[in-house]
Amino acid sequence: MDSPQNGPNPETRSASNSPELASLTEKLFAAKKARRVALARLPFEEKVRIIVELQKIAFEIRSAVGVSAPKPWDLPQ
Amino acid sequence: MEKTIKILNELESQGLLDRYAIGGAMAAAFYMEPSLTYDLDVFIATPQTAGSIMMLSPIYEFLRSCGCVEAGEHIVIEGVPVQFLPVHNPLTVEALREAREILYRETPARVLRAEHLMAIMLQTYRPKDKVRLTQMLDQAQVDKRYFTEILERHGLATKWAESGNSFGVE
Repeated sequence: MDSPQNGPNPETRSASNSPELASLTEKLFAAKKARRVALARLPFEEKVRIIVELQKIAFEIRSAVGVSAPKPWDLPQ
Repeated sequence: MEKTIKILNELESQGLLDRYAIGGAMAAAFYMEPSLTYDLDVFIATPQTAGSIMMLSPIYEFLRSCGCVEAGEHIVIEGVPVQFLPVHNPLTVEALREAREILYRETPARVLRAEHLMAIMLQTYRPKDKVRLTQMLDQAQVDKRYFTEILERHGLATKWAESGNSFGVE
């Protein structure tokens, strides 16, 4: 754990300066961006299905911790 | 959601709406990755163009007769809470007029163009608009020239320049 008195510990410092780690991080961010762009290209109907799934997940999480949550859409089949 | 769209089309064919187009987060989802949202914003022009809440009354009457129920500022159409937003300024009037025709499965619908959505986000500029605007820039296919023309036409060019947003190649 870094502390204001001591600055970053040697392990953290060497990791943050590592070209390999920087390269890996760059690749990960590029992959994340590519994934988002791929999601953006999905058919609208598929996106709506995903949105309803997100609503269900949010509903379950909020309900589990006792927070009121909007109900997921009840789409007729 | 197809049934919801069919009812919107029915409102238009019945003459209760002059024109409608999907806007807001759901329209943004058309152009970018899907994200959590709970309502369907529908921009409308009605035969009564006066900016009065009364203009929505015939629409609500028709929808109630179809079994739709009101929930706060929404009316639930086939399981989807819909909020009708009468176009209220030159930008939204133009956005509705130039909305693009799409097919949702086999049902025709209209969605605001990405460039108008972004201009509306910039005009409104609530925290969630700022976030969505950045995402749109990242993910949506935007006609930059058309977008720039919209900004100039509606006095938003300076706000855009000051927003710190860019297409990254300007």
